[in-house]
Amino acid sequence: MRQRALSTWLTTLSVMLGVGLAVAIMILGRESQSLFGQNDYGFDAIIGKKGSKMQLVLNTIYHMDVSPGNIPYDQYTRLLDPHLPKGVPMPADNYFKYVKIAEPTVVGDTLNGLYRIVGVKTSFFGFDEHGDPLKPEDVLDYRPGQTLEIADGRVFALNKFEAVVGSDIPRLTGNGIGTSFQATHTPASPGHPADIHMQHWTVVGVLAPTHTAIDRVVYIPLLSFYTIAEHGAGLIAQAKLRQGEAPPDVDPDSDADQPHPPDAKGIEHFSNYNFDTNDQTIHLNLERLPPEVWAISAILVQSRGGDTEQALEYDLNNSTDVMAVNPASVMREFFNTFLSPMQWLLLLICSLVTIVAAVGILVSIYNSVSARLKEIAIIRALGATRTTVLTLICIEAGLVALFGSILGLIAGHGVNALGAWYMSRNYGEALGYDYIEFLFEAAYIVAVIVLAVFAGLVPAMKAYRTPVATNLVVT
Amino acid sequence: MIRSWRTYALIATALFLFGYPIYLYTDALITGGITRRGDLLVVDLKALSSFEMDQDAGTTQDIPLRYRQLDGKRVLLVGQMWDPYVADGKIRIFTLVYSISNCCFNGPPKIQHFIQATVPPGQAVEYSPDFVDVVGTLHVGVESAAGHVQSVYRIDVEKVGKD
Repeated sequence: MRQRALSTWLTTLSVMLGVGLAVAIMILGRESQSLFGQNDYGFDAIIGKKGSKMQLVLNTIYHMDVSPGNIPYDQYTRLLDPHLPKGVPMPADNYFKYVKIAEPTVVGDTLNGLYRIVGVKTSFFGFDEHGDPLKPEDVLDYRPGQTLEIADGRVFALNKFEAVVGSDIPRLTGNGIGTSFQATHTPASPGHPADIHMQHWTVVGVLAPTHTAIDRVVYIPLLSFYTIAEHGAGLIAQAKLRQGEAPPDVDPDSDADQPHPPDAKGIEHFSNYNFDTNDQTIHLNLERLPPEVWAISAILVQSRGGDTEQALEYDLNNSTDVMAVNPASVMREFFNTFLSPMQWLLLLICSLVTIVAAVGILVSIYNSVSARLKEIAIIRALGATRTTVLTLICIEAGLVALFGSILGLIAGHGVNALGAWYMSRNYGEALGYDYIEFLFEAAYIVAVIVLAVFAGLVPAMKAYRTPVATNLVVT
Repeated sequence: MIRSWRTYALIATALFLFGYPIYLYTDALITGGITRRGDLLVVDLKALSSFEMDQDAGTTQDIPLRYRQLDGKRVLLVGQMWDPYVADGKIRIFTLVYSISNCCFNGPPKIQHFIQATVPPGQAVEYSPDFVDVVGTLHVGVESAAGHVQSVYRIDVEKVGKD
């Protein structure tokens, strides 16, 4: 091996690349679920507009895709009303007995066209409307047993243009505490400038990392979402439609409100709200936008357990406008339908890559044996048996595979380390590259070595059959 | 009277076709779906949950006596796992039902169909979409909250295996 160092190292390199690729694929297959950042949930139902369950889950939890549509805010208040009589039109029953915690969310805008802005209540972060902490049992978990924590700053006031941002937002956008931003409705496109709302929100809190999509979300008070002129016009149009009336014309590209000076009392008047410049508070114009026309994108629900999630799902899914989905079962179905077959495909690719590496060893050693027939004949003449020669060639193949596999293992994890760093930086969730699934990866490497030894048998048999006398003739 | 072997085959087939379902039905009627296997009581999950109960005002007395008497007993149940919180991986708390599609989508779900299963602290089981054998200690009794029955059966899980 030492005499043919270059050839040996090139063969080892090919094994390393093959094994490295296979290990990288194995890790990717193992960790593919975590590409979504979250596969367990602290809530067991999402209520939203009837449509695609997957779209509702992706939009609400993973902040992908677009919202399936809005549902009346009334749906949320009814969930938590213990005195709601039976027989009201929608929902048709008292759901308080099913629902322990409910949190409304509303989406529609982004920060810089990239990072989603979500309207929520202060209770989403574990605080009441005055900013005082709620009892732990009244706070929604984002993952089982885990609630959102504000790492820096404080929660926003429910009636101010303030924001709490995910842990990655300051690094990704520079929007840390004290900075302000405007919401982008539509990013700029060729020939069209970006549609940016006039309101300015100030960041007052940064969340602790959750390693979920939450880390890249900007949260604003639900109330402040309704201050935007276009949103108000849209809400009124949607409410008219729900009531079976013709909606007023809404120009989505116009922003009816423009900044203008406050009156003598320091109040700025806008179409949807009045803004008190003294204490910086929002006073929604309830004549124009009463709670009956408010709308939300989804409601995160933690049921009371037992059959209550199923009962909620059954009842709402048999209604006409809204649906309830269990995120775990939707994502489980997704993982089983799409990721499991992909893992089999990856396994097939791993097998092919391994076979290619083994064939590489075979060709390399076969060529080397062909070039060393005289040496082999000399070894035989010096007393080595055919079996000794065969064993030597097989050991050589095994050693090349062993070194190549070890290097490949390091390379495979290294490649995934780079991928993990990139994903962590850009998407908030990293791949678990830094541990070896011992049984699986060790079994794979043993298989590679065994395969290499078998591949080595072909040149070994050539060496085994080498006639001594013929090859010792001097030509 | 000597009959041909064909006659005996016909009688045997008829007995099997009609007799076996009758035997199963009678057996379930007599035992209530409860049979003994070694030190375990094998309880038919569908039989265990097939009784009517007010979903809001139900009490422990509404549970049939033979199932109330299973309280504290070590049982083997066969059913499907339902975990509303975890999409993939190990789980600690799950619900066991005799059939997810039959219990929960054909009609309004009933709380008596849901066996609340808890795995001991520090342990976890792998979620399975297939039918599973669950061995553990069964607790029977109505627990209510917010004007609704929240639990009828609970099981402290010892072991979960493939059916």
